[in-house]
Amino acid sequence: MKKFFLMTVLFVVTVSFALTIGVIGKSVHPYWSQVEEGVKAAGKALGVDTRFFVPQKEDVNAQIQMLEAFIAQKVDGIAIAPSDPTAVIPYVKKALQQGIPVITLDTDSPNSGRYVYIGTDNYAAGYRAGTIMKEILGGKGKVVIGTGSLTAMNSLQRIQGFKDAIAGTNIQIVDILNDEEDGSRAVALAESALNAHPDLDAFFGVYAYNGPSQALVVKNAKKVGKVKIVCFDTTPDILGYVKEGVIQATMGQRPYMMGYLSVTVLYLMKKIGVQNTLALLPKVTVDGKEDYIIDTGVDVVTPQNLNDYLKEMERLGIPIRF
Amino acid sequence: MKKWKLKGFKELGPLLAFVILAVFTAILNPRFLTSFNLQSLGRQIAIFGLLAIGETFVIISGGGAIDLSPGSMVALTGVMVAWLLKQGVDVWLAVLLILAFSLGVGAWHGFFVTKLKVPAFIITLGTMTIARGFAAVITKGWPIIGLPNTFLRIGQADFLKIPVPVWILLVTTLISDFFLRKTVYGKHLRASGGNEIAARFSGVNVDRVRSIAFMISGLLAGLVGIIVAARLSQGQPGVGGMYELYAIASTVIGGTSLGGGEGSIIGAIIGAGIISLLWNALVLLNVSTYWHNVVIGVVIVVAVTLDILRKRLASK
Repeated sequence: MKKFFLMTVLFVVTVSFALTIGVIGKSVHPYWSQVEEGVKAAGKALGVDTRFFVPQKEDVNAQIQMLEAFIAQKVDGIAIAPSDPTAVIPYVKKALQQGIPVITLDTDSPNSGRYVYIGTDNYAAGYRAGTIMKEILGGKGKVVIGTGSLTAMNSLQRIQGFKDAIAGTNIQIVDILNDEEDGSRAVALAESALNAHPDLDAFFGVYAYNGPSQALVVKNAKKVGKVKIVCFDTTPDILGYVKEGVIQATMGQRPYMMGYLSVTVLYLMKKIGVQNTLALLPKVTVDGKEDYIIDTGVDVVTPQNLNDYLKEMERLGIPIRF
Repeated sequence: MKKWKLKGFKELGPLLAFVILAVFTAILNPRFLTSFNLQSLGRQIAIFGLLAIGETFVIISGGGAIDLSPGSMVALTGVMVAWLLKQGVDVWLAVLLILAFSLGVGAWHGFFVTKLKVPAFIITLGTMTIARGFAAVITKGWPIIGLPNTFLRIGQADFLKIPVPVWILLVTTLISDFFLRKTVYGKHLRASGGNEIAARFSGVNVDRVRSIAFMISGLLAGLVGIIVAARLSQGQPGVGGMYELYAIASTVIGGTSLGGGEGSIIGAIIGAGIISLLWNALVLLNVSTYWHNVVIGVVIVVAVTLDILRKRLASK
């Protein structure tokens, strides 16, 4: 009996020796591969065992199942990018009750009680895109917006930020097109839009594939430079179009940093305690409530600074080749 | 002569719907008729139309046959062809390999349905999930880019002002229509779907006929995968969501009975035309994007219901 007890203690000690941190992303997508890279790099640097999971397509139910599995395994920390911010609340609360720190990355669930949100401030990024659009168009013109969702918060916030940035100018949004995350439909819609508005001045692409879809259409219609494109993310195809000058500016999010920081923050919470970790972080006040948010920001990539951007990425160990 | 008249009548309903929709759109926005737009529309019809042809063969073959895999197969074959091209495989060899692969997947469906008696719904549902999964495995979600120009021409070039995919659709339609209406195989296919037991007694190899139908559908899904990859200039694992349902809807709008035994290739193309036209027209008419899916769904239901009512009245 004593022997058994000793072995159990030994087992628990060895198992808990290496911390285990679970990260739940949204879908199989280049963006999430970069998050995974960051998660792995941080895990290696800190000696933490990391588990990274994404559902095939956005699927909050699959995320909840994985969240429960992590809770059952009693991992040392969980970072999640909820596909639906409200649906995960009870499960995040459950994890917190069991003493497992939970943070959100990429997409927030502010009412879940999570300690920190690490991600792009999508409103600010959309506002930045709008400001750049304003500069490129010289304050007047017609713009069509292409997006993959009209319900997802990140899409809505980016569009709202964009709208607020161009408010008061003579830039007019003539249409918003939803392709429901189908790249082929995005192309067909961009073609229809370009045709319906022959005097179109610019496209704004909200999701990663929107920019390249619009670039393809603009290029094939021989309207490069005449119809400008401002879009989101830095997949190789987007950077290729930036290099060619088809896309004038793209908002590079920093998924690698989100992954890296998530693991780092959870690691600290376990090592030095949750409150001590929070004390290190920037404090903001939202609706009169104190909150902790790390805005990972965006890198605006243009044909002019493309090479610098690529060098910087290479330095971080995430070379982008195209 | 009389047969031709009757034939013309059968697809009249959907054709009329297509024409009315087109005229309506053209009047409200004359830019509908620009060659740029018609080419764009044509490419879209080719994508749905080719899938609908395959679906028509499968559904006619009866016994509850249906193919749920085309959408995911479009994603998988598109990713595979892009991958092959990136490995330096010759364009036409890559295309042939993909077509052979998709034909094989169709044969796989046929084998499960006819020999192992697995319901078509289930085996093709399996492929739908597996193919989507493999597309993700191969790409990890990254689009495969940097495809050779000769390949991109398949999806983006025009010949005599008509996009290449439309030519592919035209040729495939002519061959399929001939195949279905004028050959022994077509007769056997319709017989198998109309009354399986009677067909078996009159010496029709129903299993073989049905397997070939699945192979045609598989092959065409692969063809569309190639076209879509060429159109997007990349292998993208996320494309083709719900395409199988649009293909089935096109087929049914075109007058193919879900019970099997009866159907029309031309009708399926018109059905694909109606759905593609809706995608296009809703943008040209500046209908809020929130309403697009509502309108498409309503039109599908109305089109099919009207056609069924018309047939019932005609047979009285």
